[in-house]
Amino acid sequence: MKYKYIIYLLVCIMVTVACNEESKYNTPDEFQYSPKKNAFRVTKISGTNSHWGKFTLTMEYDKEELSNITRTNATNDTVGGIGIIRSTSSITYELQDWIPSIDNDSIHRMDSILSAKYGTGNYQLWDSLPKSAQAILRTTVYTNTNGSIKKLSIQSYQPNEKSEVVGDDFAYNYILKTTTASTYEYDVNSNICINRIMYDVHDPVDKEIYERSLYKTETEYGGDKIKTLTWFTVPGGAGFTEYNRYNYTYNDNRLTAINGTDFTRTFTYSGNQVTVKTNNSEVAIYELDSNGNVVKMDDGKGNVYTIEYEPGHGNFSHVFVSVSEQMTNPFFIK
Amino acid sequence: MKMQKIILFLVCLTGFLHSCYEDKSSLNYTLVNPINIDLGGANTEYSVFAYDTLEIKPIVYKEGVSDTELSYRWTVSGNYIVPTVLDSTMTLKVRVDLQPQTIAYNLLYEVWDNTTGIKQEQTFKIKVETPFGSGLVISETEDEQTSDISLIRAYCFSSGFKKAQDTTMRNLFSLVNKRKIAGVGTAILSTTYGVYGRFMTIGTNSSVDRIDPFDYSYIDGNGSSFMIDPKNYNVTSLGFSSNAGCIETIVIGGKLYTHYYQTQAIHTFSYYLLTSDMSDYRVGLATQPEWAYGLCFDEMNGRFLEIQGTKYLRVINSKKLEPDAAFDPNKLQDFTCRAMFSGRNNITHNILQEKDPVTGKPKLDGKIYCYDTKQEYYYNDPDLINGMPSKIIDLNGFPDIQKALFFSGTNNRDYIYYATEDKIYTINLIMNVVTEDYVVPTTESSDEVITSMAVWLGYGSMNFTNNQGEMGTTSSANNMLVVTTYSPSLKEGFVRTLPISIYTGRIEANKDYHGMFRGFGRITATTSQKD
Repeated sequence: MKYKYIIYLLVCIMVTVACNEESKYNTPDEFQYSPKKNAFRVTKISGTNSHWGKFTLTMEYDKEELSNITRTNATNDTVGGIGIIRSTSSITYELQDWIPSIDNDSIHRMDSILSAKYGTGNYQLWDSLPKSAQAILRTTVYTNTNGSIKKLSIQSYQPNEKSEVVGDDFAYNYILKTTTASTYEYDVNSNICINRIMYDVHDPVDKEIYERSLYKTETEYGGDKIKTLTWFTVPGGAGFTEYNRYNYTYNDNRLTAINGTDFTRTFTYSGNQVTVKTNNSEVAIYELDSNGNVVKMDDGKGNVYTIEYEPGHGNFSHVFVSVSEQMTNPFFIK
Repeated sequence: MKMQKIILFLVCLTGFLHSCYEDKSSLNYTLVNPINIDLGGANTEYSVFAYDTLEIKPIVYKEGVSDTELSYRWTVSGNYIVPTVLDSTMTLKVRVDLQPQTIAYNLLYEVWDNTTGIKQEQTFKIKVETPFGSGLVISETEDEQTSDISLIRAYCFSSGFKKAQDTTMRNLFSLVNKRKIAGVGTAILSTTYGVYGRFMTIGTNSSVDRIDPFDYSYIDGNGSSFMIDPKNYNVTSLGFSSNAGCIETIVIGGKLYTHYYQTQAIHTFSYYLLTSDMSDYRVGLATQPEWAYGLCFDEMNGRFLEIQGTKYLRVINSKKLEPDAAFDPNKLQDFTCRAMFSGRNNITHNILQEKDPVTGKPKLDGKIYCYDTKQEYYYNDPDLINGMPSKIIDLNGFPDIQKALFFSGTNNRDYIYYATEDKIYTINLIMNVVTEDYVVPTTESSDEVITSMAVWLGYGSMNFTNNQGEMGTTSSANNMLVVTTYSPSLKEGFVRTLPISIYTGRIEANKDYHGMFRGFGRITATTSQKD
């Protein structure tokens, strides 16, 4: 009888051991990121702007990422491209201008030499010039393990004023103007809900000296549509303080207005054309194709582009259009 | 027996099953998102001037936690200071009230997640450097009872400065020493000589204070600045001669005390100098030329006395005067001395005015003259030329001379400048003509009046109209007047800088080249600070 109880006890122990679930290895509440993919991606942008003049940008992709960009000018010379640097945690895209690394006097001298040697019209001066690739825009994309973009750092450069002078004072290297670093947080629907922005304006002489401003946006969504965009800034020696709130208005499922303090943007639709008016003064006109892609844009400041697409997802807008721009104007190049 | 075997089998089976059980209790925790302190690539080592603003702007966040659930603390330590909390916000913006040191301070930035109590730290190194380089030092008062010291570092006052860098550091004495200066400043002198001689002496009508011009820390004052306490501290004049004896002089209660700079040990003022004939004296003003022994005016006996280094005040020997000497430096009993300053060609200009014999003050409408005395190198004066008379210049025919409050001149031109309450005149001593060259503008207020005027002898640059009518640039030393003004209605003091044309000796006519610094109390004394 005594042995019977011992057997019961041992069986209970075995059952307990068998039922014992191994301890859980808990991880942060990581959401399942569902990337929002475009059905089309840009392959060519042609137009005119103040920096490049008349130009054509041609984009190529490897799978869904930009793999090459070339820029040609009005005479079809290739005058720009892209540099791509990959590291374990980031990819840097550097949109480059190819510029002469010698001053105008030297260019004229070379032109004279070539002209004397080959005769006018029998040589390509541009091809003969020593050139340097200078970044006009450098974007570094940092990604999370789930594939979402964690941080985006955009550095913008400006041409060197000394590139116009000749002699010893000549300098061609572009000068870092601003750095904008944006760090994103996502909601459960994979929408960016918080964007923390570090904006540095660099000293033209010493880029290590800069004036920094901090901003934050918080986005409230209704479904996939933005309802409000709240702006915060940081006064010196303080934390984030709200300073503006954009309210979004929709009509027939289309964005018609964004209203904030000292900021108004209206969207007027007419056929395949959208007119975007900012603060009742700046007017930009967009032309859309049947898929809703922007195929022509005129920003009202002399910059006019035509855009061509191909089917498939691409990361052009991730790299070259800031999130705050995308959130305040849905008509951007994808 | 069978039952025993069954039990043994079950025991073995239990042990076997247990051996298969993997203990993962050490993994029974939850990974949490980290607190991110994003410096945006900024360096963690900062260099900042003392009393300047230190600003550090990181972005701090923890995914999934509201920003309001984070708390912050910035604490500075190191260099033997008590750790001090500077701020408790996400970004730091604080004036650095720390002593300049060669070793960096430690700045600890702590961020707490209040929902979990988890803390993240970031350390910085903060090197505090002295901001007190060359510039114009002013003594100012706001209550007519106490004074403070401010420093203007600017293009026209400091070496290697651009105009955009012009900066004013106000109330440095009280900022560093946590008190005001007792009394209204009457004289101020900042002197740096070698490694050990570094003093800024501030005299008022009732006090003497000495501070280190590099960091404005207190050295000593009143009785402790003297070997023998003079008891009263009514300072009327300060001077320094780097070459002729290397002495600093201070006049208190009519007696002249000296501080010998070329020593490592004792840096107090000695007992007051006696005269060479042991007669009593009462000095009002004194001047210290660069290479000659200084000169002072004895108001008691109406005579000039030569400051013979730290030895004595030499009574000038009237018996050695030339027969045609312009005046006897021992027979000036009818005069009081209004100003003493060096002129061109080794001359000292001494502005004397007839005095009221009872009060000793300038007589109403008393005649004003410039008594020029000779200067001679201190090491080359066996004939005792220094202090001997040169000539008398009659100033009485010049406009507004009776209203003149301040006189000055440069040692490279034959010009004397005198200022009334609102005008400055230039006397061309060669042509014996005077021109009204400057009127205090009424753009700031209608009651702004001049409170002091001196030729600038420090560092810096200035612009002027050159002989092609274009902008020229040259050193401001000996080429610029520093004029201080005060508006009673605004209760505001101004510093105005007036370039002197290197071609005409007159005040620059193009007002674009004049400078102005404002926002002070009433300015009562100025000096230059050199590196």
